[in-house]
Amino acid sequence: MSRRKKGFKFKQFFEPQPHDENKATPGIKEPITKKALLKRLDNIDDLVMKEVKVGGSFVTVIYLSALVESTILNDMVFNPLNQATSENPDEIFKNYTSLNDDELPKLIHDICSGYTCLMFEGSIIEINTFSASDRSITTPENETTVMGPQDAFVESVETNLSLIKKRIRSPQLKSKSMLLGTETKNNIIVLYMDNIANQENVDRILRRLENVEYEGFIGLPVLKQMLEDKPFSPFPQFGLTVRSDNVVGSLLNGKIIVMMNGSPEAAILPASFLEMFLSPEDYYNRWTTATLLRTLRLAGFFISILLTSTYVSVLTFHPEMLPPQLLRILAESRAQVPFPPVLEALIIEMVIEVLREAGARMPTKIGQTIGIVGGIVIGTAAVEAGLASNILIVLVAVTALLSFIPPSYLMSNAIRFVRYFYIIAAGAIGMYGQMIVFAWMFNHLLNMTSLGTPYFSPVIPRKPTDILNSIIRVPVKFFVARAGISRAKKDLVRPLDEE
Amino acid sequence: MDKGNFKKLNKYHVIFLAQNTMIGIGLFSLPSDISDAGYNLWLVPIFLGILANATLIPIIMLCKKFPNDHLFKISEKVLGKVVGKGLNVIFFVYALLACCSVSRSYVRVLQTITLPEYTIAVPSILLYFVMYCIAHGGVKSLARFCIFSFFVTGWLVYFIRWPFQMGNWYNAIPTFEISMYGWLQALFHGSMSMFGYGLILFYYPYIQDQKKAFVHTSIGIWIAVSYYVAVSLGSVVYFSPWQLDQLLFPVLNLLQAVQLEFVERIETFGTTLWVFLILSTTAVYLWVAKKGLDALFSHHQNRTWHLIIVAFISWFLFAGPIPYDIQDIIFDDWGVFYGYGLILVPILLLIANKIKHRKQKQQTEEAASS
Repeated sequence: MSRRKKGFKFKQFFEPQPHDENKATPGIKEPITKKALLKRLDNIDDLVMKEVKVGGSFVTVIYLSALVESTILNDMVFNPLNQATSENPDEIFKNYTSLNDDELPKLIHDICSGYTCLMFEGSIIEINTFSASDRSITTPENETTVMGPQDAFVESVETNLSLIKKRIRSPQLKSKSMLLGTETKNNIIVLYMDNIANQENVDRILRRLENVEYEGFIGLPVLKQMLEDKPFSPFPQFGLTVRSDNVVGSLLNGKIIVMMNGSPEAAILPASFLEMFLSPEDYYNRWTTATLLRTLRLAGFFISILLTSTYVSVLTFHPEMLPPQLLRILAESRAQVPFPPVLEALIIEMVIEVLREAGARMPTKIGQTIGIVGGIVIGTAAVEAGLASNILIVLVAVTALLSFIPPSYLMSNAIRFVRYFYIIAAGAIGMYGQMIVFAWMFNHLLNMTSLGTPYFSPVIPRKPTDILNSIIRVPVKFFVARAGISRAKKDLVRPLDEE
Repeated sequence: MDKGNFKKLNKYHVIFLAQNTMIGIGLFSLPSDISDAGYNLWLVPIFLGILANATLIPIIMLCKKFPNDHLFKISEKVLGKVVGKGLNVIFFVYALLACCSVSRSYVRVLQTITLPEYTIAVPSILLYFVMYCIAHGGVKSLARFCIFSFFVTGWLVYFIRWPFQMGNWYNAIPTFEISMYGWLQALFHGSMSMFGYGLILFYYPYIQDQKKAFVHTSIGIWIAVSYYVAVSLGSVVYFSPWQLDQLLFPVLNLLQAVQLEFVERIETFGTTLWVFLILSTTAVYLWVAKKGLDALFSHHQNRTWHLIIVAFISWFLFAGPIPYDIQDIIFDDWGVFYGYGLILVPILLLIANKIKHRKQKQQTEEAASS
């Protein structure tokens, strides 16, 4: 054995483990017997197994009561069975699927998905009776807009698909579904426009999905992290949305959408850094307002990461940079504060972070009250007690607000995370530290990819038409080409010779 | 990150690689370096630009003869394994020292301006860490960072507005009263700021449009020259001849002329932002040094640990226990000769290649006739 093999097998650690044959996997063949079925489904409280007499013989009905409503069950299964005169399923039911007698894993999977299994003397059939309750379509809570459609995705992928297909009535909208998660069997749907999306991108995401080997996903954001190009990066590499208009826009722009049953989010891929600062409302507004807001969002990113850290570095290392009047105000404000600026900034940043987190976790009714009152009371008391200067409170509050400007929640989280690096570096070696972190972060961003396409697009690599819809948003009339990052099949949005 | 041996540099990459490897720390002291030319000094960068463009011709000629090889491979092919490897050692040392020299000068300036109470250890380690990260991404990462740093720092040239406003424009009228010796001295001392475009010898194989490499590199050279001319003009207009001669870093004093309502001493900001220009220069040299180590020890195979080694050696050369006087000799006094060496070597290699070909032709003719 070589020396290399004795050590920790890092690669093997991440490699998928072999399949457990006992798990219900629909593709594998195994004979169906009542005994084998009961063995697999033992210790399940809500498993119902009834014998119903039909004609001269008994039919065994098996289902999971948690997934099936009794009225639907009666309508679809028991009433037809009770009224039946023959033992032939064709004469009893209008819609059913018959199974071969070696499809035990598929049967078990279907029973666990809400199907009802009926075992006749000579045949086994199943009927889709899944009727678990769903949340109704409501307005989006995270990505709110003043104008535009207000229907957000829910946890049912079928409902979400209907919201999308309602808007794109074209056979070119293709969807490929697959089951992922060895235990949860999450239904994953990959959506794309066949005539627009780049086939290489579609193949790439399908290949990545096929290689995912995991017990189960509690939500799409978990799966998304497994598909991203750089798992260690703090920046999100795929877009995440709950808005149907966002998804439709992305599909028409040549992007690919991944959705999952049980998760109200849809992943948009590939996505670029700048796209994290775009909101669907940009397109509902006039181009002037939209451009102003976009510029503000992007400027907000830079101000948010640099403002507090500049306060720290200027006060700690470069007080000579400030004009005397401003320095006097700062010195007076900080006169009572016993901590160095870096510690002061970190404490207040953490307090804001705690308030945000507590506000998000608390019940809505008290959350807002505690958040506002806590913020004001703690802020004022901290200044009066001499724990922080009021100028810093203002700066931290401004940066906290700015960090929430990006419509992408994951991007605003990333901004708040990287900000700590800037503050610590500023506290350690001043403005040089900030610039070094700035250089490091941008080198990281420049080298990042989203589904194999450069993340910093359209800045790098450049596509001249992307300028029309990146930081600025020119009037929609001038949108002639699709985003460069999609590498779309059809580059032009509309034939230009019509004008 | 793409590190494969395929063509990946587009025209923008080539332009900004050339331009950003030239503007490093040289611009900081350029007006002082070329002060032998007196108030005519703003003409020196233009002459240097013309010279650089002229010396680019043999460099590109050599590259075109070997479109898929960088200089380390070319020297081995032309001069044979032993002599070629010997020459490669010199190139390797040059890249290492150039990286080291620029970093050292910058960290010293940084220490003087922004961190007077600190040693250079922490700032230099951080600088090398980021430099390593940039070079680790391969040549495309270097090129992208060069473009980015151009846009992050390029706007600093706006600050010359204040020196221009306050200064005396009559100083800028060329008088040509300087002796030939003065001009030559200025050209000699200023040439340190021009080296960098020669590194195309190492990234030429990765360029997509190799036919236009000369044009793109020339654009890069002239962008750098225009920056140099702007800063030199600012110095000429703003400073007295005595100040030009005595000030070590005139750019810092130019920045001091800036008057903004909300910031007093803008040179602290300018010096720290300069790190982008430093990183884009040194990272390219570090990458070249790593390629050199690949050539010397791993038969041109890509090895990541080579980058760690060259980064450490380069850092150790100025942060380690080497006497300051010796460092001065190696980096400051000899530095200019390494640069000249790299620019002149292509001419020698072209001649050697021609002789080699002629000999081979003769041999084949002799073999055919006998």
